[in-house]
Amino acid sequence: MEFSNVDMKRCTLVRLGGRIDGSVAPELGQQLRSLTDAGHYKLVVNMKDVSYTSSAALRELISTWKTCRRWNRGDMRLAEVNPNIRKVLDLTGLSGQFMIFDTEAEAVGSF
Amino acid sequence: MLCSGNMNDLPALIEFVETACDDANVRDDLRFDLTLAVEEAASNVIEHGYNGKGGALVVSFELREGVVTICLRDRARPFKPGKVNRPDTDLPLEDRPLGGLGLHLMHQLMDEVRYEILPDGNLLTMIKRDAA
Repeated sequence: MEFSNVDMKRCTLVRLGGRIDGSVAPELGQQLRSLTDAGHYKLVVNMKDVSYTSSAALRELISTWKTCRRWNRGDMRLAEVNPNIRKVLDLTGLSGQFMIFDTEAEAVGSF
Repeated sequence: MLCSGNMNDLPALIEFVETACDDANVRDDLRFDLTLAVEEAASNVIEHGYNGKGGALVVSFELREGVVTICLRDRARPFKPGKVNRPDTDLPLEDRPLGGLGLHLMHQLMDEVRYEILPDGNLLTMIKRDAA
């Protein structure tokens, strides 16, 4: 799994890549928690380079989403979700819950 | 494939399914589905069956007359799927518990999911038709 983050003007952009299976999902959770622990509650997660994900990663995303939205202090939005990942989000009913943008620029601009 | 029943097995297990799909000429659009179903099934055994302490897990993959049959055999405590709450995917995310998504995905991705409790463990059989 690759994880990088950049502070933008109004939000923090996280770029994920590679395979996020159950063996690395806890690492994803940790990295996201370190952002929210530091007060970054407006997150854009770019999923363009994620080739595979399972429910373990979804659990971390849901948990981060909830942390960000607590007390209306922020949100976690997704960008550039590829078809396989989109399918997992659709099957779990998450695509209607997360805000998903076609491009990173749109997602960043939405904050 | 024989696994030690740890989360660290997952990358090799995923590779095993991908290679099996390639070798058996499984339809391209099913490669991801089958891989995901196997990871979810194995994760459940590792996390809940063995409680993270590890244990034997044997995974087999077979394609015959266009039907893929994947079996996971473990020696964990009996698994009773009826006791697992299915996630309500229509519920707002705020009100949803975090677990249960794996089983839900397995049932969505496969045509048939069968659970058998054996004297010394469990046998999970997942079937996908029209796979080649």
